[in-house]
Amino acid sequence: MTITETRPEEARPAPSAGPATAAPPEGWFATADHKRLGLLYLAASLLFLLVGAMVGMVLRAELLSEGTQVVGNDYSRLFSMHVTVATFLFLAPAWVGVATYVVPLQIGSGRLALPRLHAFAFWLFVLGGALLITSYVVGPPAGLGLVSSLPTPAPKGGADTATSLMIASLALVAVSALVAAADLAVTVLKLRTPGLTLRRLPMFSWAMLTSSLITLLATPVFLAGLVLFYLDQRFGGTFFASANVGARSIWRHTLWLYGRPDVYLLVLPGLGAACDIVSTHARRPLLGLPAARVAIAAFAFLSLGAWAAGSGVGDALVLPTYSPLTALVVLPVGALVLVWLGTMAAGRPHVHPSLLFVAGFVLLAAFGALNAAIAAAAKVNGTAWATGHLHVVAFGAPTLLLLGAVTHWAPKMLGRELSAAPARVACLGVFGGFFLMGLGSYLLGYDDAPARVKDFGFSSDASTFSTLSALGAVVLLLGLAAFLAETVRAARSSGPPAPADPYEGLTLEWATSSPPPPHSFDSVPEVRSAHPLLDLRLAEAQPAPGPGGEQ
Amino acid sequence: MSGAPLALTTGGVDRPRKVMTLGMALVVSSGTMLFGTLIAAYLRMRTAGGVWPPEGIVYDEYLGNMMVLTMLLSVLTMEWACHAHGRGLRNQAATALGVTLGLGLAFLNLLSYTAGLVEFDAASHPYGLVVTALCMLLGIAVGVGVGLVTLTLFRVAGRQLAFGTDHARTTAWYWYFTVGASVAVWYTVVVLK
Repeated sequence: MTITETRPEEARPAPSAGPATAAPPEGWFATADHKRLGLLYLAASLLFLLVGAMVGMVLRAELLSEGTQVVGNDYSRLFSMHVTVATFLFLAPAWVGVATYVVPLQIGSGRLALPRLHAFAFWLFVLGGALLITSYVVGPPAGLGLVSSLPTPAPKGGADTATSLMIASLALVAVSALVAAADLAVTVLKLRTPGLTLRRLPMFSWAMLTSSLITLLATPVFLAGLVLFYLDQRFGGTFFASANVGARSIWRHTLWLYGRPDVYLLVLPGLGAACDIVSTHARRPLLGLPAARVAIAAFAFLSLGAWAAGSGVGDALVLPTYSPLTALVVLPVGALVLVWLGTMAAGRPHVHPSLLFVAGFVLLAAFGALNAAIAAAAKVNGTAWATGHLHVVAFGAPTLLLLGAVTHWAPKMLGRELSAAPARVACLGVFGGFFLMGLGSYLLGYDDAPARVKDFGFSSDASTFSTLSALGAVVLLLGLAAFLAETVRAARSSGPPAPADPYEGLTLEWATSSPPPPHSFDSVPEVRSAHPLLDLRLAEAQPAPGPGGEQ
Repeated sequence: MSGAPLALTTGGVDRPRKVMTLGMALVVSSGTMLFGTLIAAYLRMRTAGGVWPPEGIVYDEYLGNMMVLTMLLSVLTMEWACHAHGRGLRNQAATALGVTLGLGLAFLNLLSYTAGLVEFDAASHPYGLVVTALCMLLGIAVGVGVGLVTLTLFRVAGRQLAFGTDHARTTAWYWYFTVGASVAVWYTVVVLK
């Protein structure tokens, strides 16, 4: 049998790319360009992160020792604000931002399927975020918001402005997430360049596709809960009254933060990004690529198991858990870690800072899993242990992946690579910060210190653990500041731009210049496998065919 | 055998893109989850104990049946519009869309009339809240559908919609979703109670 190896022909013009002389896109406010929208998403979510982090610092100061009075009676309000802002306004939209920038490049389309709709989603997110913060400024919204597994009953005569505003703003953010998810899913499913079948899709795009599909299924459930919550609060109903047992389960599975799949979707895009980071810097295709693809899809599917979770699951987002379905999500993550290790061992890795962020993720997740195993033997329900676990597993680990993704794709997003030394320092700071915060809270939990309470009987040990947590918060903030400073420096640097493919990349985003032109691609290479740029390099390394045409 | 790539069949060449249709399919799946959740909440509360629906709740079933029949009738006119548009019959398509629009507005009128007749509100009891939520969202969904049909009607009548594009079919998919939601809400509230 003769196998004909065909050298990829000259680059074919991108199907949807504009002419090289295309006019630059509109200004930042009216833009529908995926690159600008991606950067806007990232900037807005980082701004909201700063708000959430500053509130977190104030809370940490309040918890520093017995009798410290920083926020007075506003502790519950600030606690709810800190959790809500960090969950809804930072990680999820930041991943949408990275995807908005990177996915159209990875699939060789260079544009979004519904760009105006995507721009609408972004501005809706900004409006919703601003209103959410405003709701906490104008007055404390009722209860602990969505942090508590118990419903918030409506006051007689209807809710105040703050509560109504909080619910309405969350609805806006949810609708924005739905619109963005729909556009990203349609973009991946319909605008892939010829040859890029779903089985050849880069892992980050694959993760965003699965994440978008789950978002489209899970977010309407949250929206329905918000509608019930709003009507109950607005008209002073009895639906979520404490005596109403049926409504408690409705609250838990529609509104409660940890009874919905969304909490797992904060990490799903990161797993895909980590796959791309590892394979790019190991300079070889991912070992067991189909297995990794299945693992990501399985993680997405299993995240729906959160709907089966009991009220105790907030204390155990990974093993041990109160629901076998939620416990199963650790299996695909474990499989992916094995795939990454195997790829690194088989490849020719160079230690890029983005790899350090991935390593930080693995270590932090392992730290969380270890403590979850310890907690199985200790009674930690309702203690500060849950706070530590949330910071380590639900926020810390995905944040490391997010920063790793930004570091990895910085040549495209910013036009320049981040300098290795500051990026490593930032990685160490963010990892160390989350680690210390988690450690302090875990130890507080083992010491029976209650969660979400500002004053409790501080033992001398508890005071030390609290100080450890506060120190972690400071280190984290310094790490984030170092990362932001390095990002701004790279973006504003007047030095030469990064080369189109600084890492010997495998996927299509490295086939265009850094940063990409307004039309994203001058030409798109032909795709015949999951790693088209590697194919191109291998084909170029082949000797030219002889005069007889023998190959 | 060298490590160079084999020539594999490529996917996606000359594939009709139908971006709008797929986008609408995703929106419809989200909408299904939204109404599914509210109906599940209704059923959960129904089985949670107590008298359901609360005593004193009287429905004019005639109005409920008329509403759902109105929406079911609009399926025929919407399909007629898509069929005519696909065959390049602009006048027929515009007429069918106009009739669909009229049926949609009639439904909204009936819904608001019925809402004015019932003697409970969202604050009365859990039943009142969940029924209010269902009817409010249904009204919003049909209202959006009316907007989409109006837009499509103007584009068809103004010769702005090329024949063979998926815009009319996309509008139809959304309309069928609102019809499905109306039937589901009617079955839950009026038939099942």
